[in-house]
Amino acid sequence: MNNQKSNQNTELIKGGVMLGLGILLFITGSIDFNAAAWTPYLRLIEGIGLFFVVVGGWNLLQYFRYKKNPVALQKARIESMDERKLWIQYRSGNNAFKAGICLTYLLLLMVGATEKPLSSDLIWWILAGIVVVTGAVYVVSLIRYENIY
Amino acid sequence: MKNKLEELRINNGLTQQELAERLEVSRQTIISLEQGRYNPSILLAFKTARLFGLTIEDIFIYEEG
Repeated sequence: MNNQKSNQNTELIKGGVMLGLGILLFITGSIDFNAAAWTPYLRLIEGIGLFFVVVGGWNLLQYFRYKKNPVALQKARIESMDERKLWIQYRSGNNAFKAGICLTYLLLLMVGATEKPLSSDLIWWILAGIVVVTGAVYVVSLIRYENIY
Repeated sequence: MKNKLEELRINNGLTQQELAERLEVSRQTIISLEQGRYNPSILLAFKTARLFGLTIEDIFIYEEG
């Protein structure tokens, strides 16, 4: 019971800190400092802040869900620590990493061989493609291994 | 790797869900173990053996090759 309570509190602290930090970063990133050179960094801070807000909000949502139903908390803990599930996630992550590295290496080879600089627009699309392909490899691997093992 | 998990579970009157709860794993893990699709970690093998009061070798059968 004590363990359950400490798990709940961890969720509350983690969620609260992340949400608070996220809001702070988001507001900082939104401030117009009247310095054009800072703009990309401010957008970056804003983006990180938004990410923290989403993650912190999710943790708080989980806390209130588990507070209502402690059995669900125990079940979720077991599910998240399940060794087969973790093993599948590690394997899928490994596949996604390999795909990401290969695509990045191919892009570097392509750019190096042609010696033509890519436009920032094209680079954005290529990088976005790498992120999407890497994520897709991860999800497909998860589904595949869930069926195999 | 073959194992006698299903046999032991049934003989002890446990459901897959109950065994999963006692071993602190998901029911899907128990299903995969029983079907021999997944090999347990050494920790889970020990926990399983302790639960049934047996040794690891009594439950999990290692076949070379």
